[in-house]
Amino acid sequence: MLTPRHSSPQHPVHVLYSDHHGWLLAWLRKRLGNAGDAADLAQDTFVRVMGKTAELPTLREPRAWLTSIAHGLVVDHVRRQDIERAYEEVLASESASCHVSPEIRLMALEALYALDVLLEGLKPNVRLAFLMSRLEEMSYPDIARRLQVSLSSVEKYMATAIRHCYEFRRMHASGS
Amino acid sequence: MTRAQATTDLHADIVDQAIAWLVKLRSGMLDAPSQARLLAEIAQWRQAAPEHDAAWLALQASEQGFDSLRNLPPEQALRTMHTVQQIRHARQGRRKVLRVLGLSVVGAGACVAMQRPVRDWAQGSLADYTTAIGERRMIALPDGTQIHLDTDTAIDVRYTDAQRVIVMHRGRMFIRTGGDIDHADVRRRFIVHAGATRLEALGTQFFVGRENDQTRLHVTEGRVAIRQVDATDDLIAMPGQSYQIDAAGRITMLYPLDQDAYAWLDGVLIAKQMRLSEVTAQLARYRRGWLRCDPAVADLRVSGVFQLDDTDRALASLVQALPIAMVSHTRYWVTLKPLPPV
Repeated sequence: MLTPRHSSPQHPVHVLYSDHHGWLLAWLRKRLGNAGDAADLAQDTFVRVMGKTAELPTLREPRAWLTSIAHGLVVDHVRRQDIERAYEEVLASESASCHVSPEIRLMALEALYALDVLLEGLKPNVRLAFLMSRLEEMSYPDIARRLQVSLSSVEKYMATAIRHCYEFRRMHASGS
Repeated sequence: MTRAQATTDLHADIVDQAIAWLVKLRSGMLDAPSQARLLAEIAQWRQAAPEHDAAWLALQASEQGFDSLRNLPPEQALRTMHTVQQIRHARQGRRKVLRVLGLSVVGAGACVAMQRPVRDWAQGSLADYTTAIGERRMIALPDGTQIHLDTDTAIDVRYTDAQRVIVMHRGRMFIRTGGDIDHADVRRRFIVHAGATRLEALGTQFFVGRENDQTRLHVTEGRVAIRQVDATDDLIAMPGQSYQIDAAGRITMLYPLDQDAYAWLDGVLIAKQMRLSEVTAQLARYRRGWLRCDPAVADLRVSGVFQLDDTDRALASLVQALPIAMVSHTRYWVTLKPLPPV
């Protein structure tokens, strides 16, 4: 994994690795409850570190820095796990003889993941109402009945969700 | 006001207007002529200024995420997104109650309706299927088995080529075993692990409950073999029979049979001249935090049907029917006390 350029024991990344890899591994194991996943994410963290070598010389708190990188990876990992688990459950609860091709499964997981990231931060009712409208094209009165809220609440939820998606795109869009 | 500020304010108003149009457009409440009228209004508004058009296009683009889900059956996508929330909810619920339990102090003389050792909470936190407090869920497995999970339940599903195993950590469940017709030529054995006890089912419907190392079994259809690690013979439980297996492995048959104990499957608690302390103990299982009942009112008799999805309403109806008052010390700590003397 380490290129010849990095193989010198004095190289900052190498020093960082030998000083903190074990500690980071334990930190990840505690959060993930799984040694295999912790090892994977520890490696992923240091891959990220390789892309940030410019920050190494001025680093004051290496462990805080490493955990802030690792934290993002943990959130990502847990999200993917949750979505995969939810998807499997839903599939399993449908017809037992219906099989999903690996390609469709992969596409579905990617799309659901992106959607989950997009909707992060919305209150549960807002999120659910928005999904009912966009995924099942339910009318607002039907949504209101299902969620046991008023019609004007559903309209407010929609406005909130649409604005949320708009702000999300503004923050994440590259260029225009 | 600076020029830059004015531009930003204007922009926000334009976006608000575009959002209002979009909310109306997607309401599903417009008939064809109203829809056509609205679309014409929107088109006119868009043409009125380039900023208007830009705002509209930005809104459309921000929902691109839904396009890539068009290949999925819509109900599947919706259920998956909802299940993700349930999984997260279950994780958070457990952490929250751990904190609450850590802070609560049990007063002397009060009968505590819900008390669990911390070990019980930690167990099964990484289980395959869990329900949050107050949540009930049905799981359908590929072999045709259906499992209904009651509140605060944790199980593992360990299906292998050789057999189908369900590990019961805590809670209550109702199982309808499936025929396993898709699996090779032989229907695999179906076994529930509850502590050290093994419950083997054959074409069966049965309830299993597990709390504090005690296991309860009730068979509604078919038969279940109760097997202990060091016992030579299985005890066969027949339809209509209930058994309790304690931590030491002693098996007791339970009399009389209480059909109402399984009403949770229908989402209700049925009380027939039930003591208030028992009613609150059952409702407490579906509520986060503490629900306690003062000994002074513990023996009041209650009859009624209570919705488990709305324990607040259940408590309100108890307060209406009985000479008691509900005291909420905090949102997570409620006590039922006798009405103060007038």
